This record gives sequence, C-alpha cells and structure tokens, in this order.
Amino acid sequence: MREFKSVRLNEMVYCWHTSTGLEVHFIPRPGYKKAYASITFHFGSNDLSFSLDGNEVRVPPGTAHFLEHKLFEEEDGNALMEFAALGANANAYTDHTLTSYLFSTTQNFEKCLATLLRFVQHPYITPESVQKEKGIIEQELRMYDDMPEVILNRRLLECLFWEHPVKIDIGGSVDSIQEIETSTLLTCHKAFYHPANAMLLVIGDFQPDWVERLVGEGIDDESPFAVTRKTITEPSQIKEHRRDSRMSVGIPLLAVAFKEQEAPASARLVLEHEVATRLALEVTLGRSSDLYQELYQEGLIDDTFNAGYEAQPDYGFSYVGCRSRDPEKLAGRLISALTDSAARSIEEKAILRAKKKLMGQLISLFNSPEGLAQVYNELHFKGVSIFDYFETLNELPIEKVRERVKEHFSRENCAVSMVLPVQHS
Amino acid sequence: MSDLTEVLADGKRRLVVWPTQKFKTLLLSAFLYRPLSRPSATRIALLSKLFKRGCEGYPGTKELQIHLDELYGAKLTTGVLKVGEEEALYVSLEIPIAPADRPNEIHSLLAEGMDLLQRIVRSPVLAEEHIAQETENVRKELEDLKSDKERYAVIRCIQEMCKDEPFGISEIGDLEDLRHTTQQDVQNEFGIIKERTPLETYLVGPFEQEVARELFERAFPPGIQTEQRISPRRVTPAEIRQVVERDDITQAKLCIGLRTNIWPGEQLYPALTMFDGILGGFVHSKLFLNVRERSSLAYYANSWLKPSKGIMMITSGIDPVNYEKALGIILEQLELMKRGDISEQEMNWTRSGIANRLKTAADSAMAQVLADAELRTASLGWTLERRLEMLEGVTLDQVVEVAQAVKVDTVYLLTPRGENA
Repeated sequence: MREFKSVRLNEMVYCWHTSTGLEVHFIPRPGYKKAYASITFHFGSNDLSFSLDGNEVRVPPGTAHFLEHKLFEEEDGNALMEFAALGANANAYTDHTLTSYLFSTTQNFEKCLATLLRFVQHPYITPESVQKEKGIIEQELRMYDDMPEVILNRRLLECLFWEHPVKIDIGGSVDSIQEIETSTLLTCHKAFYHPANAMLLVIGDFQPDWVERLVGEGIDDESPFAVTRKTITEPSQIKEHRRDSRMSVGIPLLAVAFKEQEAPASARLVLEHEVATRLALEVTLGRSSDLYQELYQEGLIDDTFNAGYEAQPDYGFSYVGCRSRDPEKLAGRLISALTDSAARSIEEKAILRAKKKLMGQLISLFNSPEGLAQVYNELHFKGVSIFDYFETLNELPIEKVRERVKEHFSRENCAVSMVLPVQHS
Repeated sequence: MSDLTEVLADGKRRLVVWPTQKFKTLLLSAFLYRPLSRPSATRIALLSKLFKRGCEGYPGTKELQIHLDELYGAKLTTGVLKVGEEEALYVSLEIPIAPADRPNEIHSLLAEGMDLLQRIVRSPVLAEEHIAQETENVRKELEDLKSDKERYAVIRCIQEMCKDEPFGISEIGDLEDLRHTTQQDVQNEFGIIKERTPLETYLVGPFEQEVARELFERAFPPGIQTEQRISPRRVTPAEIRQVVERDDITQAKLCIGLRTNIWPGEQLYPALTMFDGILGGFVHSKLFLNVRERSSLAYYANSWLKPSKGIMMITSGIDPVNYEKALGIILEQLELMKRGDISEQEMNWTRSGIANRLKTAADSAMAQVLADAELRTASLGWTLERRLEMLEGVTLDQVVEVAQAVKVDTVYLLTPRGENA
C-alpha cells in the first residue's frame, strides 16, 4: 500500500493493486456518517470503435450509456433493489471516457461493496430487457432534447469536431439506440469491464487496512485485457464557426468555444494546460475581472455566466456561456477580449488571486464525497492525481498562463453556438 | 455532535450553531423572514440580487468579489426560499479553511466572515444603477422561466393549486409587479426588513460555541424587530382541478399537487415521510416501479414533500400520447396505499432509505441549515437520534391513515402543441 499525503490540503490518499490487478484508492473522511464507493471503467461514449483480440469492433453511439443502464439487471432481480434493501443509494453515470457505478450509504457498507463488485462483473442481459430499456432511454433522450443547454452544447461540439466522437451525445440518439443488441452490450462488457481497465475508489470514516481486507481481490478476469483503442485523427481546424438552433426559450443562450490545436505529449502536459487555461479564464472573465464587470453592467451577462475547460489526451476545448438578450454582441466582445488583448492585461496580482480561488474550490470539494469522487475519477484516468492538480495550481509560473492565452485563444479555432427563441408566425 | 443547536431565540434574533471539525469550510447563513405578499415578493427578489452587488466597506461589486477571492474563493450565495406562507431572504457565506488557518486562527476567520455577513445584511449598497441592472436581470429570469420545462411545470402547478393563498405567490417575482417597482420601493422594502424582520443566523465550523455567540451578539445587537413569524394555511380541496398548457416541446411534463395538511411536529409527520417514500421517493417506490420499470412510460416519476406548506408534489416526464395511461397508473398507486396495499418489504426498505437520507444530511452543513429552515428541527429538538427513533416507530396503520388524509388538488400538464390530451 502506498500513502500519499498533501500537507497543504491536510489530506491522505492510500493506493494499492489487488491480486487481480485492480487499482484501489481510499480517501479517509473522519467524522462522516456516509461512506461512498465507486468502481469506474475506462469506457465511455467516445469508445465507438476498437480492436478486441485483434478483431475490429464498431458499436452504435450510446452503447456505453445503454450498458450502464442494463448492468443493474440481474437474473433474480435488480441490483438497485438490493442496494435499496440495504438502505443505500446507488447510481451510475456515463461520460465521454468513463462509466462509473457508485453507492453511498450510512449502513451495511460491507454488503453494499460486495454487491457493487458482484453486479458489475455479471451482466444479465436478455433481448426482451434490451427492448424494454429502449423505451426508457428514449424518454431520457427526449427529455434532453427539450433542454436548451443540451442543444446549445451539442451544436457547439458539432462545430468544433470533424471526426472525434466527443461530438456525439453521450446517450446516442433515438435512432442509434435502436441498433443496439444484446450481443453489442455483452461484447463491450467483456472487452472493457476488466480489472486492468478499472479503478475502485472508497471514501469514508475507515482504517485503510480494514478497507484493503474488505476489498480483497475486488473484481477478477482470467483473460488478459485485450482492447486496443483506435486513434482518432482529428484535424486541428474547427469544422464550422457557427450554429444556431431555435427552441422554446425566453432569452437566447450563447456558448463560445476554443478548440485545442494539438494533442499534448503527456498526462502532465494535459494537466498543465488545464490549470493554465482555467487560470486564464478566471483572470480574464472571472467575477472580479474588469471584463466581467463591464459586461454585467451593460446587461450583456447575468448570473448564468460560466466558463470551463474539458480535455483528454486526444481532444480539448475551453468554453464560455451565458444567457443574453444580445448574444451577437456578447460573442463579439468575448472573442475580442480573449484573442486580442487578454495576454497583455494579465497581472501577477490577479493570477495569485485566481490561484487562491481555485485552491479554495478544491479544498471545498473534500466536503462532499460525491463531488470529490467525480473529480478524482476523472483526473485518475487522465493519469494524474488530485494532489498533482493542487501542486500544479500552486506552482504554475505566470509565464505559462500568458503563453497559454496566446496559443489557445485564436479566432481561427473559435466556434459559436446560439439557442434563439422560436418565432411564431 | 452532528446536530444544530439553538443557542439564542428571543423572537427578534435566533442563533443556531454547529461546532464541528468535520468540514473544510466555515458556513455563515442569515435568513430574514417576510410574509409572502405582492408586490413585496418582487422587491425582495430584487434585494436578493442587490445583496451581491456591494456593501459598506466594499461598495463596488468588483471590490466585494476581490475580497471574496482573497478569502480563498469564499462563496457568497443569496436567494429567496418559500417557507409556508412566508419567504426567507437569505445570505450564505462559505469560506474555505485555507492551509494556513490553524485552529487558533479559525476564530479570527469567523470574525471576518461575521463582519462581512453583517455588512451585506445590514448595509448593502442599493445604488440606482445596480437597482436598474438587477431589475433587468429579474425580468430576464421571469421571461426565461419556460426554458427549464420541469421546473416550469412545478411552478405553474403550485401557482394554480395555491392561487388563493400566499404560497401561490412566486418568490422569484412577477413581471407586472416588476414594471411598477421604483427605486424608492426597493429601498423602502429594505428599510422594513432592516427594522422589523426577525433574523435567523446559522454558523457551522470548527469554532467554540461561546466565541461564536459573542461574535454574533456584537455583529447583530437586538433591534426593534416587531414582526412575528406566521403559520401556514390549511386547505382541503373540494374537487380535482385540471390544467393543460402547450409549448414547443417533445416530452410532456405531468405535475400533480396534493394536500397533506400534516405538519412537522405533528404525530403523523414521520408517517407522512414514509408515505412519500413508499410512493415516489426511491427506486423501489411504487411510482418508479410502475410508471418507469414496468410500463417504460417515463424516465423519471417522483414524489416529494414541501413540509412547511403541507403539500406534496408528483412529477413525471412522459410521452404525450401516454398521458391518460400514466395519470391512471399514478392515481392507482395512491388508491392502493389508501387500501393498505403496502408490503412489509416496502415498509422496511423505505424506512432504511429515509434513515440513510437523514444520516447523509448530517454530513452536509447546508443540508442541515435548510432542514431547520423548512422543519424547525433545532427548535423541535429533532436531533438525528430523535428523528431516527420517530421513523422507527411508524406503523403501517399510520401510513394508511396518511394515505387516506392526502388529497389530490391539481393535475397540471405541459404538452406539445397540436397533441390531444
């Protein structure tokens, strides 16, 4: 067992591999009544084509999410019900690169963990149940279709990317899920739900040795991990500069994004880009920036204003969004501010303040096991830890932020998406 | 200790604290209660936004934000919460306990937080241009309500159900009232709040109770507050009201409002939480199993309580053609419960699910604060242990008694244009 301590955060993380090769991480939360565990597989909506034992496999969009829905089903019932009987809360989510199964509970932690480790290893999927699930997922997807933010982001990603499957909705479409069959799901389960492709995270008021004994071997698979992910060749240019949609909204929505130009060489570099970009966004557009205050006073933005960054080794983009009566004017102002003068106006004082703010956000994350787990899992599968993030934030020199602004924010790799109100004739 | 303790309550000021080492942040929250009424609600909605724009010592929004950033990105949240026939204008300050804040420095951090909270609540800057800007922001929010269909359906259902009660007034304001609101109105409204409104404050963090109390008394000396908290109204529906609205959407939203008329502190209240849990609070609940799992009619079908108003809501997103069928299944579940068709398993699983929720809430400072605002847990002496005991004592007969008392009031449907419903 390896121990990692962050003196600055005053937190510990314990890590080990089980006999079957499953990686386990444990974060103690003294005084907490609730305990949390998640098992996360490196398999998400982006994994649409790969090779398994040398054979090429292609699956329909929405497969990872569909499998997540179906895995809870068991021959003699449903794992969700088993958690309910234990008084626990279980859930799962799929994103572009991961599928995570989780529970939180204040009682019966041992039984809950055993249930989690069992059901993710034993799919019970029948043609009838796949057919029935299509009805449920169809309603889920239709619910998203009525959410303006979902449409805004979907169009934005379609502008940014030519080939990369990140542009496709995580759940797929009402049409694409019709193509999913029992065999599709079983193939993906066999391929990706492997101890070498997973991480178990436990958070709670426990002793590390106790957790290690309880986890035991975790999950097992006799055959070796045999998946090779297909490398996607994504042009560095964006596909389109602009996409608008019309929906039932009262006020227009705007999103502006900048596409990463080239794939970073290492996990460290992905992290450094992420930290530098987030600092750059905070300094340029954060609530205490001049630009934010100007736009707010002019009525171009309100409290729905948000900015962020999403990146994996093979793609990345930053985004800024807000509800606005004049999305056209706002887009113009945001793009000029980020591409023209931003680099020059970055002061050291502002960077230090932004660092403090982002550190505070990370510190607060440790209050909520669910929130912490989501960030922890995501960073882990990018090859870095939450402590690395904290240290990078602390140490990153100001020049790196200035460089980042120059290389990342350019008009050529900028796309705009808007959702405008429906016009009734 | 995992519970809030009321250390001061004299009708004018109330202080509730939770000294604990558990969290990485200090939480300071102030709640100011006003009776729900028009046009005050719109002015209070405006004030909740103005509280973030500046205060004595930090008159500009940028200056205030820089101060918050320097406190390791302290989070300032303001808003309005409906509680029975009242609304609470609240300000919350969550300050990360930074690496350098050793135990002996916590009290100075708390003092700093209290000072800022006091400035925001007692001396906000109500500048003309800020009022004009926030008026426009409230207008935008109101015009944009429909963008979130699920929330919109719930708001509309409550408006229809409680149209003759203060609770039917929207806490986010009203476009008509906003049109007639002047700067003077906003300033007058704040004057009333400052002079007359009872103040309730919550403090959570690794401090000593006595120190917190002293800091509070210094920051908020007793004033001349004269208003009393008011009780919610009981309404028994005569018949079911049905409302259908149309919009450019693909999925229909069904929202049902019910009257429970059972209140926190009453003997049947724990049984009401069991009733809600068995019906629609969990994945093993009747609604989830029968509307989603058995008939694939919806992705979600839930129920939840608004205890301070004695009502319950059921919400579901459905294919518009399945409206009658889904409504039928939902009403059938209510009938089954009236007849006592509740298994031992449903009782047991729900009991342990609610116990898990109560214990989980003890791991979140804000969840405890909101539970007190809604239920008055600290005043009722509802420690976690007490609440678990009460839950344990709920019988099947009591749940059936609740099921028979609960009445459907309003069925609201938001459905696509051109569909028959």
